[in-house]
Amino acid sequence: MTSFIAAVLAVIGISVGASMLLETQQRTADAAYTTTGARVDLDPRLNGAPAPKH
Amino acid sequence: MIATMSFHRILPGLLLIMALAAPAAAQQPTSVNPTASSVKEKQLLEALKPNSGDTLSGRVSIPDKRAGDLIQPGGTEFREFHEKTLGRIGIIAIPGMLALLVMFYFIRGRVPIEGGPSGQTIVRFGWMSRFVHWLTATSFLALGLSGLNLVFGKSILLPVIGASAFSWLSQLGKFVHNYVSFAFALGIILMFVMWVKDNLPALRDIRWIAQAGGLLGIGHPPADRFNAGQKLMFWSTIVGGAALSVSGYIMMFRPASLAMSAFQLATVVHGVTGLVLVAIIAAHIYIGSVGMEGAFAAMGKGKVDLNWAKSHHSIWVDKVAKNRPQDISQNTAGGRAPAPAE
Amino acid sequence: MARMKFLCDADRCIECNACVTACKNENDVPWGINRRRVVTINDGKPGERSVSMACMHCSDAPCAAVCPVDCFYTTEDAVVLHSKELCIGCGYCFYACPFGAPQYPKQANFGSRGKMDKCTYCAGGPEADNSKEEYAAYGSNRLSEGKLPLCAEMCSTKALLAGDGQIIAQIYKERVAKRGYGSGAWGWKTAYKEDIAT
Repeated sequence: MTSFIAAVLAVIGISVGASMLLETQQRTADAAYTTTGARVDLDPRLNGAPAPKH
Repeated sequence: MIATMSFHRILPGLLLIMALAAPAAAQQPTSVNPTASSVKEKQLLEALKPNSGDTLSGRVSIPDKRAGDLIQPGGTEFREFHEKTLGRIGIIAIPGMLALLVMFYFIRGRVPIEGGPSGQTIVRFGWMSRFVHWLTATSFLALGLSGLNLVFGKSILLPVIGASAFSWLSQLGKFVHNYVSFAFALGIILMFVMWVKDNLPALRDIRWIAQAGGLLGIGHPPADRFNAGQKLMFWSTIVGGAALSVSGYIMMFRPASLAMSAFQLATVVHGVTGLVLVAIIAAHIYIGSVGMEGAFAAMGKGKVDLNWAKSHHSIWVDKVAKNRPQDISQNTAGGRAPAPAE
Repeated sequence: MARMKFLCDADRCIECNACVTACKNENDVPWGINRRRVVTINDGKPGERSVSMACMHCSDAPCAAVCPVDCFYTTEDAVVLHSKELCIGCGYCFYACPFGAPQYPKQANFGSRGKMDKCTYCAGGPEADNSKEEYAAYGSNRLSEGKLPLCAEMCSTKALLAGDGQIIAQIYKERVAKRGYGSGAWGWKTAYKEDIAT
């Protein structure tokens, strides 16, 4: 029984760990597929406009 | 003059061939009328077939080079597979296996321990082995269910629970499928390392298979730690699990070096292997639980009844008795006297 | 009802990429996603042609067929749209689409690539026509206002045609008859199971 519970916890742990690790590697399309040559702002979503307030 | 005339007539075709044959076309004629040579999609697609390329691609001025793929005819075959073949395989494999198991239960019933429980136990799997087994098993269950949902959910679950609830469930299923896969892949690797030396094929496996492992009631063939049936189970899990992991990670990370057809092939491999493995595991779950008395204890408590072990793994029991007699418990009160080994 | 189609006359397209820019601007398409793109084949060689390609809004669309959550639907005008609410970002439509139309807002791993994005024929999505929500998710809905997709409307050489399939096929046929050549309607055989004889 302990082995089963430990296994379930390990599955959850590994999955959550993997998801967090992969999320740090994720790139948005604007970072992956745009050039930087003709940018007004480094953040392409703003492009010179003031950052939106959250 | 006549010769040039006819040359002009075949020029578009020639140019096409030369353009596709690329650098070899060094000596191009200078008098070319580009407006007259219309490039037809059909011709280009036909010219594609013998080449290795599976997309009709060109140059794009945007950084996403994949956008240069103008047309990929393989999509039609992918759709055909996904819509028809995959569903058919699934309908044959999974309900087929379940029907077989139910039939087997009614014909053979629960396979009893030969000679009844002895009351004596023998250590079958240690804590680590059971941990790895359940790690792989629970993750496979999560992967199998979320995977089946992706193939059959649309026709079974969607009409029942409605579009937005089904979408929510499938979204959750996709995340589970993607991330739980890492636990499964780890489990497959650990299982391979732990059990491969006991799962190498041996000559006595032939006899075991010929007698169907004693299920038909014509005597129980001898077996070492794992019998031929379990070895087949082991190798299907390892090979199937490896195929699923490799094809799955190709789909998940989509390496830029691979062609479109590689991804489509990966989905085909993933779908077929997944369905077949679900069917195989269904049989494994059956025989490990309701199908056979005393079998579940191996992965439950890690200790099995000595009589069960003697009938299924006679050689292994002898080895344990000789090398690690402390693994066999002494007769406990209430149990029947151990039957003599066959 | 009209059966809306796109037709790109490759013999007229000059690869100015204005359709791409118009689409991005009209629909506020995120950076890195191109609902429409211009592909040049035989680049720099005789017989060079450019084709402007986006979602072709196929009859019997492959994306809709393989979608595991059935998020696609076809409008009365035969425009293939999808619901980003329902999309789970599985990527099957990307594998099935012959024209490479489906794209995703994130690129590294497929675990969280986000909702698929593709050309809407400037017809928005399942939300209320011209609502704020519709614009945020899918871009403008010109079709509901009786306008054709902007890419085709502003094409300077009228290479890209949008509109009822029969009408644009007729325009193309007349063109080909007049000038004496034509490379055919790109993608029509694949998308609509029909071709325009040239």
